[in-house]
Parts: sequence; C-alpha cells; structure tokens
Amino acid sequence: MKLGDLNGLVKAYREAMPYLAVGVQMAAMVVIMFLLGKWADEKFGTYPWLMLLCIFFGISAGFYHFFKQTNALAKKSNKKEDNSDEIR
Amino acid sequence: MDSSILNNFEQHSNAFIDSTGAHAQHSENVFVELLHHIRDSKTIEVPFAHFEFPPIPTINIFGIQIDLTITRHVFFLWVSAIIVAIITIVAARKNVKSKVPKGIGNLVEVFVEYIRDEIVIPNMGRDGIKYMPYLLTTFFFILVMNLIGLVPYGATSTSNVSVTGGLALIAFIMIQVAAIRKQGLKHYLAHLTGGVHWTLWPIMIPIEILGLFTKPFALCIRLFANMTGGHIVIVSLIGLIFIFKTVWIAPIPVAFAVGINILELFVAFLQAYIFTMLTSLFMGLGMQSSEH
Repeated sequence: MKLGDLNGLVKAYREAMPYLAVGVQMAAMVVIMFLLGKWADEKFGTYPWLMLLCIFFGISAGFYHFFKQTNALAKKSNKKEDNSDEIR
Repeated sequence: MDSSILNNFEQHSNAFIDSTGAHAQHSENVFVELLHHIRDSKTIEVPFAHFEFPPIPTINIFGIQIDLTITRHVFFLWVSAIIVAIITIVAARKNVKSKVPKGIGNLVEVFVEYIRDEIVIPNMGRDGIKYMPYLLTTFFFILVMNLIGLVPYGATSTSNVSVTGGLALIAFIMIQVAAIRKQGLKHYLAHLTGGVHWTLWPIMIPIEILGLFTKPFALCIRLFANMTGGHIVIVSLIGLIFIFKTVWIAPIPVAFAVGINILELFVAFLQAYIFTMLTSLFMGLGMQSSEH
C-alpha cells in the first residue's frame, strides 16, 4: 500500500517546510520579545523603553537565526546531493 | 400635511433601524453560539443531550487558582490516547505473530516505515532510530486527536493552545536531550556562545537561548492555528445560513463546508506529519552541529 498521489505533494512539503519554518520563527522571535518587553514595562513602569529594547533585540536575534538556519539547511541539502551522486 | 409625511417617514426609518439593529444582534448571537463549539467547555455533547463533567474544586499553587475540572478537550485527549494505545498494541501483536502484516498491522506499518525512511533517516541519520518511539508517538497521537475532531460530536484537542503547548514542551525537551546526548554537555554549552569572542557573550548567549525557545513555540502555534482555522472556516460557512435567515441558501454553504471538511481531513494528516518532521529536523540539526 502506497500513499498514492499525495506522495508528491507531501514530498514538496518536506522540501519546503524547513524554509517556511524559518520565516515563522523569525516572526515568533519578534512577537515573543515584544510581549516580554510589554510585560516588563507594565511591571517596572518604564513604558516604552524596555519594550523598544526588547523589540530591537528580537529583530536582531530573528535575523541572526534566520541566516544561521538557512546556512545550516543549505549545507545539509548540499551534503544530501553529494551523497545521492555517490550512490548513482 | 408636510409634517405628517415627515413623521411617517421618521417612524418608518426608526422601525427600519430597529429591525436591522435587532437583526445584526441576532445573527451575531448565532455566530457566537456556533463559536462555542470550537471553544473548550465543561460539557460534552451526545446525540440529543448534554452531559456535564462533575466540578472539581480549584486548587491553589503559589497563589494561582487552577481549575482542574475535566473539559471536553481533556476528555477527547484521553480518548485519543486510549485509541492510539489500543491500535498500536493490537498492530504490534499481530505483526509479531505473522511474518506478513495484514489488516491493521499493515496500516500501522505503512506509517511507521514511512516515518523511518522519509523523516528520521534523512533528517537525523542512523542515530535517529533510537528516537523513533518518541516521534511515532507524537505522530499517531496528533493524528488521532486531529481526526477525532472531524467525527460528529467529537472535539479537536489540538485546537487548544494548552495541548499544543504541552506537545511543544515535550518536543523542546527532546531536542535538547538529543543535542546533549550526541555532543556532550560541554560542546552543547559551547554552542550556546555561538563561537564568538568572550566579550560578545552577554549579547550572544541570550540570542542563542531565544532561538532554542522559538522553535517549539512556532511548532505549537502552527498546529493550534491550523486546527482552529479550519473549524472557524466551517463554522462561518454554516453561519451564513443563519445570517441570511433562509433555508434556500443552504446548499451553497453546505457544499463549501463539505469541501473544507475534506480539506481538513488532509490537513489532519499533514499537520501531524509536519509536527513530526520539524521536530526530527530540529533534533537532527542539533545533533549534526557537532560534526563541523
């Protein structure tokens, strides 16, 4: 029993999903830091400084991980291609 | 004469405004009523009746009140856990008995082999085989939870952010455990510094730690949003019948709702697959980074 025609679509998802996940993570980092900064501002009464600081931190962290992860994924897919060539 | 016409007009317009206002309010209520089917509640629906769970008194942990009353999502979480346990145990027993898998044993084996060959080995290599039990449990558990929401009178536990948060927490622990076991604690901590000069550590370490947390966070939100989104689309389509207040429009929303339901059947499989695949990918990336 095969999963049939869906196999192609699922295969496409498998190739694309790691890269799609990278984008979501970049956004998630900014949102998490924004919420954290807002919470800290409410707690210490320093609106809006901690929030701004956290957002900038979140954005820089987002970009850092974006490039780090795309590099790692590219390295991995290159490796996979080399391996498949050897098998052929 | 003029004033009477004006009065008349005023009355009519007021009546019109009243009726539209009431209309809008009514259809809004219907929509809110329908949305309750997506939300968690302390009642469970069986055909022609409601069944309420017995209330459990709230407990107090560090000043936070926690209500431990069983809800619909918890109930269906347990149901799906039991279903997964029964199906996999039966399938395993059948496959041990006969060399050629048949029936339910064959069905489960297709998924297991697919996950091993297409997810675990490409992402984590041969070392990943020892994490197969965790990944398979995640896959089957999420799959059954998603599918049980499509059964009439069922509820999707995965459309509750606490459930997906719990799953993501387990994924977070497993990703760290896989990385630590492969690299050793020393290398794992060294990676947290990003390999930069020690003067930059105060900036680098928080960034790296933030990166550890956002991966499972994204997993949690993705599963929750996908499962909730599909249900809201179906509810909105069915809600059109109540907003237009006529039966004659029913065939169109129902046809669309059936279409979305079929799509949801696919999404149930896809989201379970994506959650498993991304978890194994992150575990694999953590294990791989010691090699360079």
